[in-house]
Amino acid sequence: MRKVTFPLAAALALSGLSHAATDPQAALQAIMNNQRGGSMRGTLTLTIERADQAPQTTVLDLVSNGADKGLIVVKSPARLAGQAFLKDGPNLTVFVPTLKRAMRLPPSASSDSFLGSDLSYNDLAGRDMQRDFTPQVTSEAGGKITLTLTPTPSAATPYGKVEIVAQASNFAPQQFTYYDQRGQAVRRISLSDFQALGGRQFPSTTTVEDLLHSKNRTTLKFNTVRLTPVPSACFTQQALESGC
Amino acid sequence: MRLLSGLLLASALSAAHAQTFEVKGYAEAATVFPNLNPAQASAAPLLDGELSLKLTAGPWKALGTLNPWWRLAPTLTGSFGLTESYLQYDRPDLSFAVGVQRTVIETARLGFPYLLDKVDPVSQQHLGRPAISLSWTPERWRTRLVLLQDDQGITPVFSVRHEFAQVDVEGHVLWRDGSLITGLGGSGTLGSVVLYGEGWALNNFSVGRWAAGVSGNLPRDKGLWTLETGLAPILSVVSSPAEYYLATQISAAPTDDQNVTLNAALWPKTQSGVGTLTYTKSQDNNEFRVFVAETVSGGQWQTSAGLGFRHYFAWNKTQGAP
Repeated sequence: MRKVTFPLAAALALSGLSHAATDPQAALQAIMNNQRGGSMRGTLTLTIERADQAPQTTVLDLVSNGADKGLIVVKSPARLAGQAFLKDGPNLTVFVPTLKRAMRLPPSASSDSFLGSDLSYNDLAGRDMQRDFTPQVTSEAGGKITLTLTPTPSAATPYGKVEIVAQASNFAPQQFTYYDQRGQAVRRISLSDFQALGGRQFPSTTTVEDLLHSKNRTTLKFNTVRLTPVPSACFTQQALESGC
Repeated sequence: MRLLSGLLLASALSAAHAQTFEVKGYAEAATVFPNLNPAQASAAPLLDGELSLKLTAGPWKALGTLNPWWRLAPTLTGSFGLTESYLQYDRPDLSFAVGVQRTVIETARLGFPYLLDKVDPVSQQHLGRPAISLSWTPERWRTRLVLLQDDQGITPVFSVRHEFAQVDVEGHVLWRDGSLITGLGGSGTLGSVVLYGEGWALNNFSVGRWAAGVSGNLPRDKGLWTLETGLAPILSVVSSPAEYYLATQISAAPTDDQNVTLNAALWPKTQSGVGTLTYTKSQDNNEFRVFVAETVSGGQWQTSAGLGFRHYFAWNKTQGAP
């Protein structure tokens, strides 16, 4: 995958290049930059809705480098508090407080459900979308751009295709639709409540719908977010065990 | 050690930092039927729990954890289970702690080739020991020096850990009960699975213990499986003789709020084994658990079962200038 630096992506975003000139890799880079928001610390509320169940709320602390590393610590409910997850590229490690131990999880666990929600670990941190998929610009109309992503041959993903809709003017992502191998839409992520942070359009609310189970929905809302440099030591087993 | 703890506590309390006080834990009521044979069936009601208190003031931290349990019948017995009680000075690259603390050195997930923690013989809870520990953690390294007090006296422990991209390795050297003990453990990813293991040379390299395992995802990402073999003491009792074992754990979550876990272990030499099937239903801060276990030893089979209800709680308060 061709690397596109952020200045190029930002220049693309600001210049509003013509449709024909839009580089799909650069567009995906700019979209992911907006979605991840950059190096940050934040507190999030995760709300899981299921048919016949009261909504379940989980509060998380997130530290991210805005690229492929993220440290997530569960603050509440009490039943889960203290659990922590470290995503470092394809590697995923969990800290189990009762055992006082960090344990590696299989790489394929990155696409597993995060704490029973409709989100996966990949949705919370990382650039798997850029690593595992090849983008194409399939539509540019009405001030919006649509990218269609197909998995690379070596990608460890259950999806056959992903469609991303973003604002053409600034590449603020609005919707991700995931399709299974048979072409059926199975999951939709909608992004809203954008904040201008560090020159990016950062969505502070993410809503995930399970399209196969209409009453299954997960909402992830940033209560606080602070763009700040995060030392690399925050993405180590020591930080997973002791905090950062 | 008590004097040093007092000095640390005084320093901590006088420090001009925001103070956070946290309380968390759980309370559980359970009933175990150790033998379902109608001729010998009896119920053993149990109460157990965890209470953890933590006071944080800047780099200073005071932490205490109890894991009490009481068996109410046929005779009343139990323990307050002091797991941790220590004061800690914690900087980004440096940590110093004094008091009762756990020293986790194990890498294996189902067996315990070698442990420094004390293990409650009934509850199997891992408990801390009086110790002084110093950790230096630059980036992906951790160098740890621990002086812990156990039944054999003072045991010095020196450990070094390094995280590579897809592998982490930790080596240990300690002097315990008049002999040198060395160990090496690690884990890493290979394709779609995690490989892990640890090996120990005890009593001046005259005795060996080890464990090695592999773990992967269940189909459709509904859980984890683990398979492990090794030479280790049975039931975490370090002083017991080691035996070869084969163990597995399959943990599946058919829905968001339910979990089914199968644990099984086999000791071929003594033709003994144990298998436990546990179902857990959780909602909010509550958990309901039911299990059935089958044990075989010396040709004798025994079935046991139990159920329990656990409630988790947490509270915290922050005061003072941030």
